[in-house]
Amino acid sequence: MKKNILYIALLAVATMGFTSCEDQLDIEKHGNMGSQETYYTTDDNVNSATASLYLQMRSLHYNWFMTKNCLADDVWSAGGSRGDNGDMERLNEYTFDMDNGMIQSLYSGLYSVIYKANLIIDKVQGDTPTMKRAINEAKVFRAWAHFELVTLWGTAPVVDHLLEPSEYRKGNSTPADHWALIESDLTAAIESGTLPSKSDADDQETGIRATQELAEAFLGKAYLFQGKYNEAATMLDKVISSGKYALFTADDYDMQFHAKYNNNCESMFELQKRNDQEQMGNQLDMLLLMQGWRSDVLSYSGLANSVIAQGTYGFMNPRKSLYDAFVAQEGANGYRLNKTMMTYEQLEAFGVSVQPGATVYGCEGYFMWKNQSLKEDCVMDFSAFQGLQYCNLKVMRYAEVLLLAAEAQLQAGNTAKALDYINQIRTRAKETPLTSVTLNDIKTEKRLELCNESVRFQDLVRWGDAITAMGQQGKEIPSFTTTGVKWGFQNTNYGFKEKHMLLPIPLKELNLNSNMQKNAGW
Amino acid sequence: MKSVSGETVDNTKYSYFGRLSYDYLGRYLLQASLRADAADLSKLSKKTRWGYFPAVSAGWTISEEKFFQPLKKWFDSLKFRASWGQNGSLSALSGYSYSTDMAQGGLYPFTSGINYTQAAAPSTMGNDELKWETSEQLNFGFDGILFGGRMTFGIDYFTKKTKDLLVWNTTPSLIIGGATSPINAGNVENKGFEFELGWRDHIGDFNYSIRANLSTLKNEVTYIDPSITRVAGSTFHTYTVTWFEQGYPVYYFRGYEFDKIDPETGNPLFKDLDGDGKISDGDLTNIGDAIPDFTYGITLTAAYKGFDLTVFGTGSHGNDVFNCINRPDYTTSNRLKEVFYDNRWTPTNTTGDKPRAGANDMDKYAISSALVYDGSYFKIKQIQLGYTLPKNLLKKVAINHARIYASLDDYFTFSSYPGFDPEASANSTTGMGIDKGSYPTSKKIVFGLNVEF
Repeated sequence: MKKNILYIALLAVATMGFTSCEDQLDIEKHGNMGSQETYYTTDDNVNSATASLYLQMRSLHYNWFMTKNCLADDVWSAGGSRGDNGDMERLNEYTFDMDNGMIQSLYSGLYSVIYKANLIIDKVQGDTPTMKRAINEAKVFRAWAHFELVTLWGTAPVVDHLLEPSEYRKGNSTPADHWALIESDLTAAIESGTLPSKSDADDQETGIRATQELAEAFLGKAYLFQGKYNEAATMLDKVISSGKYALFTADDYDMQFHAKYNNNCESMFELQKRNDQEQMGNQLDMLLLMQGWRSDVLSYSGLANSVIAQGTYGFMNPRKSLYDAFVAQEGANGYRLNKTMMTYEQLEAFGVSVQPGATVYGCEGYFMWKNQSLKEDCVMDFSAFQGLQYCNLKVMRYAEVLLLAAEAQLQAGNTAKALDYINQIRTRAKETPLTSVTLNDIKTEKRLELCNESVRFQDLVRWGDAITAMGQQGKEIPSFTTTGVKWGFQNTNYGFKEKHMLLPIPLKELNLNSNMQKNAGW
Repeated sequence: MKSVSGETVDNTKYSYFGRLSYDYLGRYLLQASLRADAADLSKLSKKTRWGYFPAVSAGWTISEEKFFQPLKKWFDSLKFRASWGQNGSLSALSGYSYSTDMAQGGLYPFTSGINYTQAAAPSTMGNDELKWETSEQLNFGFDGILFGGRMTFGIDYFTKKTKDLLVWNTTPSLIIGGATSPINAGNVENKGFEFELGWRDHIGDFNYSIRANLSTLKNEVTYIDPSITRVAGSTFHTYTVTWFEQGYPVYYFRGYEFDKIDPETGNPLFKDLDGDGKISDGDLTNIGDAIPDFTYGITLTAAYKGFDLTVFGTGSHGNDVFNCINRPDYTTSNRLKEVFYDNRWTPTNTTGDKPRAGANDMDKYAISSALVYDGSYFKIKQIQLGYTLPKNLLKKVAINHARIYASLDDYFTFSSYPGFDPEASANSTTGMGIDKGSYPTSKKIVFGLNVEF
């Protein structure tokens, strides 16, 4: 036994003797870029941090778009068959609960944008022009994300700085907290004088990043949503009178949505993609793949076969009620109507027909046109996975600014300006100008002009029109065949109700974070 | 080490190892060891890099004891073994996952044309406390040989506890915005018995042997960090179907409990477990797991003159398989007739036990107990019959040894599972028992000839 003790002692001595080798374990990271404490100190690094914020916006866009448009009354969520993307279907039919995956992803995704913005706002050390611009750009997007949070969830937490681990479980904020942050961030960005303006409406370069006018447009929108009509009118007028933006008229109305006219004069802000085969995998997204007509139940010939990128999934088909709203205003041959969607007859004339015996789920015989992916939009026309377009992802276009301004001016009592702005929209749509304008005129114009463009849901809630518009939504769901429309699917519990004025705080968050309370009615 | 992308990756580990052995007359054996391991900076911070892992084992050859001598005539040998030890693992870690170092992530164009700015952000939000994952194993067993070596047996009991399990992608809250670092989040316990029994003998020229083994296994997650309800595992379509959660087997299947087909509509109905009047997240429950109650194997050999026969089979009992083949967006592919077509509800077959074509809630059906099957099976892995040609015959043609054989490999499977293969698995840990239609094991008939010159 004595021997053993000796061995142990030897081992102990040996252990101590060799500890100096331990520094061989201190392997530095390849191309180490340093810790987050020291990184944000050069212009190049700050630009990289800003790129990361823009990428976060771009990766959020799909969910942001789909969630809000499924919640509105423009489209059927549709897809291949019943249950093909149940989460979207449940949003569209108002059968969703607190566990909806799309709502949860949008919620956490908005906070990812806020986190990337807070890194820049909190960590940048220095005051070069590049750094000042980056900080104010970050404030624009932090405000944008909080705008979505307050208009969709109301009581989600405000996150105005990088959170310490001890702050990960924040409780609810009030809408007033959100509006205060949104106004102060946007006002600071506008007054900083660090954000650029476009040289003129045709400047396709400057507006790739956030401009002074974008901050003003977001702030004007935030004022309008709070009912601060005078402030909204003043702020939105700044954007209009800058003359740096214009309605797109270089080609037909629908062409503004295609890659050929990326960053056109009407774009307030869009997330960038490039016609670059080398990077196409890194910028793929499913926005147009999802929304293209359901290729596997269709036959393509003639013109359609040569211009449409096929292999798409058939989500987001227009409702007949949307078509009817167009017809009521523009007539069945309305220019904008025909550049926005097609009836089945028009679709056939174009060269697309439903295969004999096939069923188009979630369809009343109307097919969206303005969101179709053309072959010319594709970096690579790849029918097995049609997600390789380089159409920029729109966040806001000037038409929305004009309609927000029209509403603000009307509510502030400046009918003449309101009439001017709505008539600019109507003229471009080849409608006859109005001679007088009501709030309903603006609501209808906005529905038609911006259908399926991620603004309708928040407007309906804000206007108090949501229950009227969507109280029956989801009662039954159509399928289209060449012999007619069948209503083969029913829900017993459906439709927009009082509790939907605010989306549910995600169940997962409630489970993780005991400081968070549910929204009313959930 | 070079990775696929051509980047050189350095890994260093620094270890001390010490062992003491003691053997008294071949009767008592004692062994103790201690190892100390230090991980490099890519895995753990300086503060937590060292892990210390002791082990002890003891053996007692009972059959060498005096009191055993009367039994020696027929009981050749009996040993008792006991061991306890710890081991460390960091295999789940890589790439400075505990740090808040900056990392490149993607390209974004800030100008027109193909001209990008490299994006950078902290790779993770950091975890200074990250430490070694430790597994602790305790073992007791007997080994015996009887009847002049004709019979052998072994009995073992084991418990293996994995502590401080390294778990990625945990979420303390949805508002944090960044990627969390891995944390030491859970404990897992495995325990069971292993039995082995063999017999070999001959009757004249006829030699034969039989060996059988059986292992039981009970697996449970015994602890999970309070910041996590459950950790997501494998996904199917847009759903996570396996989860790691306290009180359940690792990566158990979580889904809806299928009730019946509504005779009125042909739609599937599910159990409203939380009683809130609708079928939603609150009704998700444990609908099975891939951990078998026991596994077993049997090997038979026989030889007579030049002929030899081997039969070898293995089986598993009590494991479940989740048939993740039906996707509601794939209407016409990947459907097993037994699973979706036979006895389905139609207007003339309202008592069918499968949903009607195009039924409501098929997305819930696809992640319900209706598609979880008993995956118990017994497979005869091999039946091989051989004949070794007589030497005297071969000598004439200068051949040393020649054997011809015929073999049925993986030929017989006994299972009630309707999919291709009850051993299906989407991946080794999080996807155990998830059948996404991977290519099944093929049946083989092999004829062979071995010749030695």
